[in-house]
Amino acid sequence: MKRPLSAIAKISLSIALVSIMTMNSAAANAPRVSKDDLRQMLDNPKVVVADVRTGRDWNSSEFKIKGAVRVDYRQVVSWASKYDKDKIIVFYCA
Amino acid sequence: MIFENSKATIIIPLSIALGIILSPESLVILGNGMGSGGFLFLAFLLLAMAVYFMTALSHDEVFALSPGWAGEARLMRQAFGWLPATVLVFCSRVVFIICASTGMLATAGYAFNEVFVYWFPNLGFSFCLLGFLLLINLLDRRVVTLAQMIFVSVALMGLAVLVIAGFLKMGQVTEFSVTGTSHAVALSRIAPVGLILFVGFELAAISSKKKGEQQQRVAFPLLAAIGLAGFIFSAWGLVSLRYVDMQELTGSTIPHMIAARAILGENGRLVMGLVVIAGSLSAVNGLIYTMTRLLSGMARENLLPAFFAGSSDRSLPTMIILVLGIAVMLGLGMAGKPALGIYIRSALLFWLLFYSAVHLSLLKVRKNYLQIGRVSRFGWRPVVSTVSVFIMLVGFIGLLWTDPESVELAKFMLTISVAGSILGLFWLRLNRGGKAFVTVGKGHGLNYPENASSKS
Repeated sequence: MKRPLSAIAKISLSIALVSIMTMNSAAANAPRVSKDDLRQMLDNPKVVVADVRTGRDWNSSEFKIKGAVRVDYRQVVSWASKYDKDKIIVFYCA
Repeated sequence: MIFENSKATIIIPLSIALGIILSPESLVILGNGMGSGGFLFLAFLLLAMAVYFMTALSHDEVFALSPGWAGEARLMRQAFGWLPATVLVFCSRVVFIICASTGMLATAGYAFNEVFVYWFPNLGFSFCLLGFLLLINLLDRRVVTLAQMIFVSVALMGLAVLVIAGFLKMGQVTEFSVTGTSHAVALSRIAPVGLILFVGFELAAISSKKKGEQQQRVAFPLLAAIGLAGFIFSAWGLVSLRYVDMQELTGSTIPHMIAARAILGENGRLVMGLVVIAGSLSAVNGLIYTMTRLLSGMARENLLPAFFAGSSDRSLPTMIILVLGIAVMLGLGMAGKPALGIYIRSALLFWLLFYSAVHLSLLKVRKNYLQIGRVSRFGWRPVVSTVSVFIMLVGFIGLLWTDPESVELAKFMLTISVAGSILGLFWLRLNRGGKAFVTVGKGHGLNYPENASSKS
């Protein structure tokens, strides 16, 4: 009884660790804008800051960027058409 | 049952109960509630306190009649059967510790990142806190309880500083409207919210030194924790109302931080940041400490697989599983998923059902104890249990009905209750005819055979 449980525990742990590493590596590939660059861009009327934070990333954060629009990242199609194609959309995430 | 000294029998459970109650989650709920209802919310808060006073007295009776870490579950099994007892604990407390701890540690991470050290990753800090809590829980029990007292003390002192500063400066504050709501808010939504502010207080009763040994004098620390928490909530609520507009309190996800900033400016932010981190540590530490014991006790009662019993009074496998569950949730980014809020609220609703089940169990089994002479008379206790059940169930329905995501909430509640039942039945089948059914002995505090309805 102990051996199957031990094997199950090891397999579960391995799957969990691989999942965590996969998630983290996917986020690292997106191009980024530094906060200093973004600060200079905020006065640009062509720039739209889309705050896509959800859950605790939004709820627990004290800081919201002035003028940012809160959107659902899962429904890009529904709100992206509201903006002209020459707009620069900066996604603010956790 | 011999304890180290009489003060420890009160201070330790008091610090555990307060630590779980005074979490950052509670501050958010309180702030939003005060913004929605003002003084009316305070009135409902006092009513919730009264209900929990009654629930504390019932728990005192439960553990007197059915001692041990799994006393509640054992009593519920006797009244309703093995499966409902196990599933209810799983759906409420286990789901809560995994999901709410994930949320609270994430909140602490953000507080640290945004208030103190901006370059330190918030999720990294959350993992550091979790690792730290695992480490101290692996050490001696006295280290855990001492750490708990420190965490709670820091959180309490921080809130006390803000409350006192808030009251001292009140004469300089511009008047805000506190007599009415600035927008229409359903009474049905405000009224039951206070009920979830005190959830988890009774876990303090599962903080005895030795396995199987029940905390004596459990009523006093539980009642003291509820009273003290209620006082702190009321004071903080009043101060928040004085310094922040009601509409802002309602709509904010960090009403406590806004209020702290309004009271003491940047210093207020620093103090509240400390309160959030200490409050998260105290809540998660209290949950890990007590839930490890609870699940271990349930395993020894054959309510869970023997694997959870562990070989020591700390039940290392159970602790590792709980901490690993939280770590996986954090690592998978669940803190950033809106679904986490649904999971936590469902666990809280199940916890209200759990309280109702405890009261109902007492109503059902009291007469048996009377027959065998374990209790001399009923007195007011059945009335307390009946009223508490009624209010808890009304609160449960009100919260579920008025939740903005009530459909998703109901679906998740149904899903985990079915999943818990399937797991339970599967384990029961594995142990069929063996150790699935408890053998009641004198050491369990139940001195008569279980009736047929308690056997699955």
